[in-house]
Amino acid sequence: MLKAIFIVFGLSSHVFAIDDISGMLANLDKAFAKYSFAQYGENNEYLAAKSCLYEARSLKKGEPEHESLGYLIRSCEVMVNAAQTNLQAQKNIYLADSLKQEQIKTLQKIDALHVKITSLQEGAAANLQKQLEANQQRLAEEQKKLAKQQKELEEARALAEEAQQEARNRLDALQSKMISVKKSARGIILSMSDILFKSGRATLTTKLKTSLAKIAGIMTVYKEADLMIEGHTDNKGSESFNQKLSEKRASNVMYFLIEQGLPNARLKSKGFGFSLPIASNQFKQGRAQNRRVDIVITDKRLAMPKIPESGGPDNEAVNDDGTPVKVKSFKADPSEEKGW
Amino acid sequence: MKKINLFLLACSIIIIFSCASPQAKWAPILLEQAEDKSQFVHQQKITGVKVREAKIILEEANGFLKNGEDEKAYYSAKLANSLFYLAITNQKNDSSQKSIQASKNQLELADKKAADLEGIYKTLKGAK
Repeated sequence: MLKAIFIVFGLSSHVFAIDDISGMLANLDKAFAKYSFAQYGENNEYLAAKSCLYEARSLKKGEPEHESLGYLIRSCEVMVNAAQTNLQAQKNIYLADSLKQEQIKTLQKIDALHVKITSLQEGAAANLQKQLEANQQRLAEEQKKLAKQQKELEEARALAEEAQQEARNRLDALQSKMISVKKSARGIILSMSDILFKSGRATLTTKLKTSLAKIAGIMTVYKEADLMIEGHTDNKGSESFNQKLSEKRASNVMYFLIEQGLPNARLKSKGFGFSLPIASNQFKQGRAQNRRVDIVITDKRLAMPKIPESGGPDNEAVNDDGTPVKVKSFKADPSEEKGW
Repeated sequence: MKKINLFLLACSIIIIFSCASPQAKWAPILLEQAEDKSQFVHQQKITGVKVREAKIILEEANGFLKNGEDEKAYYSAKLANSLFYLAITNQKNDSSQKSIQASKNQLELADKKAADLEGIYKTLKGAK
């Protein structure tokens, strides 16, 4: 059945005029001319169609009623179609090639970008490493410096303590009913009773001068120590009188010490009147204790703060939680504040 | 193979004009060519109306040749060859269209990747 249909279809192709096929070929020629890449020689279907047409024309001319003319014309038509399809396929292949070329360019661009990105990342990593190494080096230097400072400080402290101990020992010899020697958070305090002063006056007695001369001698050797002379009174009399008297007594002691050769830069004096009693003013004994002149001996080296073992790079002492420590004056254990 | 076929076709044309009945001589050759193409489309798994029609006409041509109808066999074989040509070029066209689509998809992916990398590069360069 199918065979019969095809045979009928084949015979019916007589209806195709040879001129129609020629027209199709002419169109094909134009199409090929449009695309330079499609050479005639590369399109076998085109050449076959042309040859077929030539043969069909010849047959029609020689035997117009030839029984196979329909087959030949149909062959020509099919070949023209094949040539056209082939042309389209060639166009597609050309386009696909163009797209591939474009893709290659894009891939090259991607490769170049990869290289650039890697380069940037490596550069950044190198910079970070360099920075890290510089920081580590700085930290090591700071730690070394800090360790050195700490060692020096410890040495100075040891020296100061030794000197203070020596001064203490020597000052201890001055301990009497009139002079008490004690250690406090502020340093060594020599407390002189007002028996050493004439009543209501600031003039130094000979006894006091003798003791002060000895103190001056000790302090001449104990050079790192500063002396603060503080005058105190009881509450008998007016405030202004007591203030002036305390100031005068303190300054007289200071000037005497200067006369004994102590540099005035190490000395200061201040009168406190009856503002800082050490005993009750209600009783005679307490008032006697409040009437006094204190010499506070402070070693500057012992007043320096201790540097922690793990000092930071900025030479700043830190707490356990990493927060900076506020530097305070060196303070001895208050429990040590007792007379000796 | 195409070039050889073309050469043979050209030769056949020359012979047509040089001999009294060239179809009789060339019918077996054209039939052989058509048989080759039939095998080729079978191997390539090319199917369709054109292939079926070509096979029927090829069978018919073989019958003509057996019956001594050389001229009919020649024209039938010629038509069968043409139909096989068309089927093969149709297949070629389909493949080329698929190739275009694949190339377009790949290019699109590559363009997207390039754009992404360009963005990363600009970001890194800006951060530096």
